[in-house]
Amino acid sequence: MPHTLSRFDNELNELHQLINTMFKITRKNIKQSLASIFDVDVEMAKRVIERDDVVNTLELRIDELARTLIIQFQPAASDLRTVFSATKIVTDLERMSDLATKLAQNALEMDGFIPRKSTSVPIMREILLTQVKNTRKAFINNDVLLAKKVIEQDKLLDDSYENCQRVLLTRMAEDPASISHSIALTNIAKVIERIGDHAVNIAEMIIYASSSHEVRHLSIEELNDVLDDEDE
Amino acid sequence: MSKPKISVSDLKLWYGDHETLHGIDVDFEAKKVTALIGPSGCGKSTLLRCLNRMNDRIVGCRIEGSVLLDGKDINAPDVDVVQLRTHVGMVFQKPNPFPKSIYENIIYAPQIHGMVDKQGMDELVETALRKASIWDEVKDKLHEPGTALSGGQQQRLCIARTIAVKPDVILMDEPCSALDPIATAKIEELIDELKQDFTIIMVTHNMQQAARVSDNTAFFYMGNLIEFGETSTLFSQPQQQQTEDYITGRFG
Amino acid sequence: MSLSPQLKRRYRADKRFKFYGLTAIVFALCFLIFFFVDIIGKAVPAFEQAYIQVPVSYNQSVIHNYNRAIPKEYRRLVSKSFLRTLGQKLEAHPELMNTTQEEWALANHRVDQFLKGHEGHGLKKKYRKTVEQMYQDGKIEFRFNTNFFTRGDSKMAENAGVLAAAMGSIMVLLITIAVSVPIGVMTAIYLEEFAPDNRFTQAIEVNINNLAAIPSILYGLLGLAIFINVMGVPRSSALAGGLTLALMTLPVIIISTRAALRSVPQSIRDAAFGLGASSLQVVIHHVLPLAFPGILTGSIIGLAQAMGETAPLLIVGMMAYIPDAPGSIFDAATVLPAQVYTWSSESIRAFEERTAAGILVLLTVLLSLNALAVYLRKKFEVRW
Repeated sequence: MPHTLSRFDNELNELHQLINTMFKITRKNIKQSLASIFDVDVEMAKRVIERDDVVNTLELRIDELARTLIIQFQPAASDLRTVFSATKIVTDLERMSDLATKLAQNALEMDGFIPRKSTSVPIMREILLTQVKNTRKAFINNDVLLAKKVIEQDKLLDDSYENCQRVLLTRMAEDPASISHSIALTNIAKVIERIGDHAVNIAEMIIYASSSHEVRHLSIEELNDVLDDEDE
Repeated sequence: MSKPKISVSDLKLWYGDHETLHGIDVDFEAKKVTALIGPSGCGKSTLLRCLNRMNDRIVGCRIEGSVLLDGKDINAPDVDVVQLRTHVGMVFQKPNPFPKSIYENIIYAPQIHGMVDKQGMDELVETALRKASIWDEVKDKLHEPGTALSGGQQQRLCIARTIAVKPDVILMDEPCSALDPIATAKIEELIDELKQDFTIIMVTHNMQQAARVSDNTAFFYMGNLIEFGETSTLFSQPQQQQTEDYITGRFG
Repeated sequence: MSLSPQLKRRYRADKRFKFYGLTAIVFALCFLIFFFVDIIGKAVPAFEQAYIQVPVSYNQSVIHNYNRAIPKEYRRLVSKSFLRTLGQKLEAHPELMNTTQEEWALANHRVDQFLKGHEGHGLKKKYRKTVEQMYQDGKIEFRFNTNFFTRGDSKMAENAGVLAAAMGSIMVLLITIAVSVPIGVMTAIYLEEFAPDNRFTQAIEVNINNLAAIPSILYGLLGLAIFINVMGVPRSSALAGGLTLALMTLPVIIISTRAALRSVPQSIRDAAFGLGASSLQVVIHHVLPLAFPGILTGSIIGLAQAMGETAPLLIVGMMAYIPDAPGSIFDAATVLPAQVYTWSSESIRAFEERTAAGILVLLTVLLSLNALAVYLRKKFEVRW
């Protein structure tokens, strides 16, 4: 149902659009920073680093808008949750973009060093990209189930990260010459895993905003329980 | 929830042939502030006036169901309405001090109920005014007319007048709707203090006020109680769509 | 910025409307001024009365025929009322016997009117020279007309006063107050504060409102039927008149009292009820004190109206020649407006100015009552 004040609806809509834009750019940064590493594309890495400023500006602008909304309209119930989660989501997006910048910087420093398929880092890249894509989709459509899927996917990412670490450790023990290469790879894997965590945070806020359930710090089973109650 | 101070069950009310309340069930906790919210004409004020039988005076008003005060039905034939009102006081929308002195305003009700003798009067007036946080503002002009005070002071005088008879429950019908924000804040501060001693039930149109001062909130719509719950829960995650629509400003 | 033609038209219409209103007021004011100038102009001479200095011989024959006390040429110039008192005066002062005194006597109305230069004075030609001569010699002079305020009605115009009528008016008014104010106020309080709102009370309400609009003469008939014929109250008495006027005033008092009660804000009643006051306490402690000024003004205006009323009194026989002030409420009495009416139908010229003076007295009393109402209202009014 539309709000009695159409300006309130318009501004909520603008908030949503701005976050969506921020999402789009952040996702592009993540995608391209990973690509710059895998494809050794220095130019692309530089573009990612430059684009981080846009994300920072967006973060400030969205925060400002959220503050205005709170001052002017004192949102309640779902509106309150929307505005509240918006500020949280924006923080996570900004962190994600920062991490992408870090990856891009790695790409510059690695100086043409390509991670081989011998580790699970490429798999992690695939998982992360799906996760980020789904998060954005869940946000656009207020899709609780898709958001839940994002949270579930994170398990996969975590497992792959563990796996990757194990492999790299073994390799470092076996072949001391590869240590610097392996450490670099471990760092990349860690950043990917961190970005995944932020995606999970965002998914949790999406669930909070649209279903009012607080699902942070819950296990997958507990999460299922909470959301199943909803359906009954 | 502990034993309720006032327990309303299946309360129906008619004005003539028109049913205004359709079976309300609600418990008001002792020493808590309960806010009644809802669009105009939803029955919240009507319910409030049932709690001290102010509806008695309205011709053609008929009720069914029970209102229990400490487990005793206030509509039972052996309950005297005058006595009931010393237990359940009321503060109205528009500050309505009597056009008499501040002192007389306070002492009037205790006097007609024979609660006070000549010696105790000064003390009682001071206690009531202190409790209503207005003593410091009026102690030097106790014998000036209460109507000369500002709106917010008048409303606090009315609250002092109500608590002078030491009721258990104070009903407030939009007590701040005629006041400016600072006076409103003072009343809200006062309500916060009063809930140590009294059970407070207030009707308000200002949802932020309900959110600020109440422990529990009841949302009414078209003579039905739609949702009742802890204020913080009701305002952040209401269970009913109608509540959601109302508190987010999507109808009403 | 120039005004649009439409706006100009609107302002012109405003001005026109103001002008019409002003004209109406000026017109009404002219009537009022004309009325007052006319009445006062006619009334003022009545407050002066001619006195004449004549030799009075007290002797035995005076006791039998007072006309003989003064010389023949003066007899027609002196008021009979003066001559009538001579016998008593002689009895009171026996030492005056067989003396002749120069005394100031009340002049006959004809002399009075002739000297005031009024048409239709009725003074015969043969006396006119004497009178003019005496006036020039200072043997006739004008003094303040105390008789007008200290005497009752009289067939001798120079001797007629308003005292009896004023006393009658006061008695009638007191009876009206005693009967109509308590009954009216109580009725209004019951209807407004206690009565259930049903067909019966609605019917009463409609009837009371209608009663206020009934021609007052009908109240006279009602008074005649009930008080005089059924209850046996003496005809023409202040009691009969007072009761009849009380009947007439009741609806006015009830209506104004109800209006006063209704103007007490509902919030005050709510406050008192909310504190546990009973219905009676709410009315006595809060509503009545606040409504009091309104009730007072309403009652005074109703009573002032009753005071100026003649039609119902005509029916109960108060429009009569009553020379003496009533001693009790059962005695025959008349009232000021009735006196004015009686005088106005007299043919003697001197009564004409007395009529005007009577009107002036009545108006003064009524205006004072209204002023009192305004004063009391201001004094007791509670502001909040």
